[in-house]
Amino acid sequence: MSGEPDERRELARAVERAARAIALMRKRAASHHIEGEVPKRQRPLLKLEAGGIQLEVTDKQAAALLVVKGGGGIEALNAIARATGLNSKLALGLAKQLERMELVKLLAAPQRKVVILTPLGWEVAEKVERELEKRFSVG
Amino acid sequence: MIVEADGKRFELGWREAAALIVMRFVGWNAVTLSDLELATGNYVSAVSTAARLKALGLVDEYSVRGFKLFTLTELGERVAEELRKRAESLGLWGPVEEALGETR
Repeated sequence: MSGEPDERRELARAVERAARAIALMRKRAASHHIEGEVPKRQRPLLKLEAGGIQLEVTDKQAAALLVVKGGGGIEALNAIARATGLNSKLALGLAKQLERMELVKLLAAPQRKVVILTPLGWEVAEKVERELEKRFSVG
Repeated sequence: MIVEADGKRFELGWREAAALIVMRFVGWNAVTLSDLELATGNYVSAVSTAARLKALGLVDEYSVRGFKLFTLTELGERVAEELRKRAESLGLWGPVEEALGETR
């Protein structure tokens, strides 16, 4: 970019417009803001190895991973909340917990949140699925 | 305007530049189409801006359950940073600082 008059004008316009949008978006965001809270009642479900590390997966984490896997590796946070019976605060806390475990990536706009499985998360979800099929298969 | 990042040159209009600045500095890691509408002026511009930024490899698009979210790629973040640096050097960055300060 050269800083010539036309470019300067274009950049000034972009900055002005972006500033107005940011101010409005941040004001609107205040009404959508929720702090995540990790669900306290989580029961250890299984231990497994994935990506060269040992992991302990709880019932709620397993459910969330399976919901996201069922969506093809991407799912809305409110769908996870519905499937796990958690409110949005707890579902967000659970998603953040899974993100810290590097199993998912959380994309968060104030009014919309989406959870995406990482490659490690996909591997864990597949192992959880296989293990549960084994446990609950008849015969 | 021409912006260079990672040895690549990008020709951006004000709408694309505004969208990148919003996505980089608003304070969260994804925006909706209606957020982009605020930056670009209207729905049609938001859609075409998002499509162009995606084609340039500056933005990723995620579609789930009838809505779309957009995030910056690493390259998109670098281009947005270049825009900030250039705006600062030309004394144009004040409005964004002000917008961030007002709502901090």
